Amino acid sequence: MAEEIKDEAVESEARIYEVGYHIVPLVAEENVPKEAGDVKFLIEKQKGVMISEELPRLHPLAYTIAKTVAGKKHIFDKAYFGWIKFEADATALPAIKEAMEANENVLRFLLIKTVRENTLVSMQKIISQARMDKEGGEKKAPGVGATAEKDKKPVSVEELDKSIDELLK
Amino acid sequence: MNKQCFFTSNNIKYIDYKDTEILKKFLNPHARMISRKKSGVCSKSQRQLAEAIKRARFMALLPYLTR
Repeated sequence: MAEEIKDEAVESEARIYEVGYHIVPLVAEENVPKEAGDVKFLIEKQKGVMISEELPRLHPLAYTIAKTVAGKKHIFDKAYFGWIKFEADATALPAIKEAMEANENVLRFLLIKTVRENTLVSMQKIISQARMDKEGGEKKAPGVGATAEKDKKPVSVEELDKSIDELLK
Repeated sequence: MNKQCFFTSNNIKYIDYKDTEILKKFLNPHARMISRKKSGVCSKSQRQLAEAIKRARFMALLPYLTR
């Protein structure tokens, strides 16, 4: 009995986190997966369990970021952006944070609490569903808006059409 | 006019900061957040949206300002 309670307490401490990071573009493209592997390794070292990830891809930055690498100041306008979603104990986070800060090739990172489910929503899916709603009327495909209330349907179509128009501008 | 929340109507329960395509729709040409009075987003989603936009700005996925 006591063991069960203890197990539950341990389980409740494990939470879902996500670390998003930029790797400096000074790293050659063929070495980027290795850098991502290093981030993964430091999470696994803290007994983190991987849920999902996206390998870093070269991405233009919305503004320039300065960083001193090997005693020289660099200003970057692009970086390799990747993320890892993992399950870990709350006590493991300071160590992960410190290790990320210490990594010279990490330009910037963000460690946040999240949910296990896939949180990325495809805009294409929303647009195609809005089109199906418009064309098919009552026929509704299972997906993002499948559980929406029926009486609210016409209003939501209007709103979606507006958003599509905005996108097409 | 009766507006409905974009996130509620599309059953989006968690607004991800990496979804810049969606977040951009709630920014004006100066890259400032659009008020919920104009966008029709419900208060719960607006709080999530604000946090997601701020995270995306920090990660340089979205600009703080555009002239």
